Amino acid sequence: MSYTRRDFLKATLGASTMLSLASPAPNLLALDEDTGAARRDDRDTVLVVVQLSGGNDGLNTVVPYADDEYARNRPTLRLQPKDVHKIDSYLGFHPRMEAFSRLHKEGHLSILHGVGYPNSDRSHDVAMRHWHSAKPDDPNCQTGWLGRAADSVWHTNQKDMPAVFVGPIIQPFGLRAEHVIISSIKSPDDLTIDPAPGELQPNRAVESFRADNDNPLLNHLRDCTANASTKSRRIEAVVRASANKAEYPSFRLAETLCTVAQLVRADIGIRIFFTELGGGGIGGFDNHANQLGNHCSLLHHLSESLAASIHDLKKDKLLDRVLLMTISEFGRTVKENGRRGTGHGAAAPIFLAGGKLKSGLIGPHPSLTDLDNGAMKFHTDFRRIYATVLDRWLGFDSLTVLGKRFEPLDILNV
Amino acid sequence: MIQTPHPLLEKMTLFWHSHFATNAAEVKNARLMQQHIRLLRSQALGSFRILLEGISQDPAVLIWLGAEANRKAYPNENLARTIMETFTLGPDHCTEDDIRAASRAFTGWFVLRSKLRYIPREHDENEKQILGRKGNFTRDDVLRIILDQPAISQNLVRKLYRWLINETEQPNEALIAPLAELFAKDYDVLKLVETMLRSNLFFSTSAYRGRIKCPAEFAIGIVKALEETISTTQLANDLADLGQNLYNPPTVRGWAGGQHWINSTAIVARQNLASALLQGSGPYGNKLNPWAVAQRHGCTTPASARRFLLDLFLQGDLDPDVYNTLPKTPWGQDDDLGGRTRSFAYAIVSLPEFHLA
Repeated sequence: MSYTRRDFLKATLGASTMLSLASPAPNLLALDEDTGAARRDDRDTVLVVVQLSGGNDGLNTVVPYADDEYARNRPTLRLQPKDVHKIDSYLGFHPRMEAFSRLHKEGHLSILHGVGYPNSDRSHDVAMRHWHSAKPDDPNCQTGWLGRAADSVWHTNQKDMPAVFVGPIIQPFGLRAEHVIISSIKSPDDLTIDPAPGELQPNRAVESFRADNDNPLLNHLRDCTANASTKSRRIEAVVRASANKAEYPSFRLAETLCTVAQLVRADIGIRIFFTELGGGGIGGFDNHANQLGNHCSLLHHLSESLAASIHDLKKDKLLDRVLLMTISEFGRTVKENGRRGTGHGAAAPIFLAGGKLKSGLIGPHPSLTDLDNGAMKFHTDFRRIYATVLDRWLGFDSLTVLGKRFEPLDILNV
Repeated sequence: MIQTPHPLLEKMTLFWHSHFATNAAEVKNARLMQQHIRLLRSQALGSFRILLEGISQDPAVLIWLGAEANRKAYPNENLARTIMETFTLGPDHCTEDDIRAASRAFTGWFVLRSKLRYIPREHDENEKQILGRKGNFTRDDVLRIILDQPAISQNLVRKLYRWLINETEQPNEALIAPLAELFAKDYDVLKLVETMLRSNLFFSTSAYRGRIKCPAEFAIGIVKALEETISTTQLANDLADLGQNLYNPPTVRGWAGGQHWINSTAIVARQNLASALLQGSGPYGNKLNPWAVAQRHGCTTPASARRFLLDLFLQGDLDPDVYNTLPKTPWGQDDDLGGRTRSFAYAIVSLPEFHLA
């Protein structure tokens, strides 16, 4: 990374907001030098997972419009070649994913084709559990891969929470950790200190919490209390500074990603963000009937929200630190059913977005004729992507997290 | 926990809830979960032997461990592994062979329509070798063999030491050995806990502020000190945000606790919960009223209320530097004493010292 945390703070908070902070700015910066040491490495990279609940129909997302098999299998659901946003002479984005098409052209979006896993399950709960645990062979696995990732970098005296879930649904299993506490939040407010009851505000000068006691627990508590009040003020400053920048569409996912961008900007040490589209449970992407309209609006939300967040981060020169990744429990059947919908499938594409991507299209599009029980076959195990993201992006050890080595993919420009 | 006449029983029930950690969201049956907690409470200060026997045949535990069907042809290793490695002996005191043999002894037990059933033809009648003993063992035999091992009382005494006394210092062997020996005689939990709590050690400096309160202890400490009851639904949600989703421990190893409870985000959440509890409005209503409690205890002036609250929450023991950070605007008789006392109480319970027990 070519700029320091100090530069980053200057660039993002700006002089005016700095002056409005309750505590004098020099203190804030001085303290930050200390708290930054708790970070495991200095790359400060951030992973944002966007879960598409219900099983996204990859074929109507990245459309093989030139494939006769596509047209033949999808008499009512097929998207017309003239309507898709063409990527090449074979593939195009769904007509409502104009923003994704733009991101792709700018080099900020990669499509990984044919992602899945061996003997994939077709029930929502089981398949989603597999994507979350990343251990499909272990039905008794009680932790999620991101929970284990958070646990793997935890150390005594750690002040910052390494991961967070942002959204209104129950925290997904993927974040289940054995040791680390991972919060669920709806907005940045949930990470800031509320006003005290009554009218007297306690003195939160961080100097009063010197960690020079001989009780190690009290020292840790004092460190965290001081850090909590610094971080809280920093989040408030970032939220205030971005109050009038309404550049996000009014979709729920966009609000969520706006929160993520604000927290990245506040630089409070969170390395993993988990977000969701589709409502959790058997989510909105599960379209067994009349798929066209519903799917279309979800893809529109996804594409516009993600693009807004990419542009927001890029404007503040933060995009190089952020990698977004979509996951979904499975793709859909190639052939539509008799109710203008699709059944549960297997392989599907994954999207990566960010500033450090290698190329736009990764791996061949799976065949539409060589099928497994009506669904496209996978050629890339999702755990290879997880391993790549852990090792090469976050700098966490994928062997600890996944329990096995998976061959990395050459998808990141780092 | 809030209304109990017997806080120690509740505290020990919570200890066993984290020890025999069973997750309600995975059991997906509230009645079975209630039955499970009832079992924990009935023996929380009773017999560890009866408790362990109850746990090994508790439908909620079997469902949570994916052991609803212990067939002769497919013995379920997860139940035997969890009982031996997590609930009793620890991985250093049993081998993979012991676990495999024990899982064969557990065959025949099923959970069918939420009820425990024994199907004799599914029980493996062959000889098994477990922890050095040979025989055609059944589930009850396995538990008997496990309970004969010294490792079990050692482990539990150490864990209780962390829970009741100090979680940063490793207690030395001379301290643990006699307690473990006492406990191994009859597995009487009450006698063990009583011995620990009456010991000189419990009143020594190493037992003082040597533990971090779990979220439930933190919140209930505030509520009980202020002599009130509050909405438990709201509180359960807030505790979950602090990392302690009661009835839903993250894994079979329970809540890791200790320093794991605390990071900057957890501090923010604890302070905000304290603020909500003491706000006098909002989700918790105006039930907690520190000024009224202080008056009830004979305080007539703001100064005496301050002293009362410091004694109540921090045993009057606070570093002078820290004491000076507390709000010290002089309170006149015309001021809103209720509101000011709320501010003061909040300032105390959001101090680093208050998270320690």
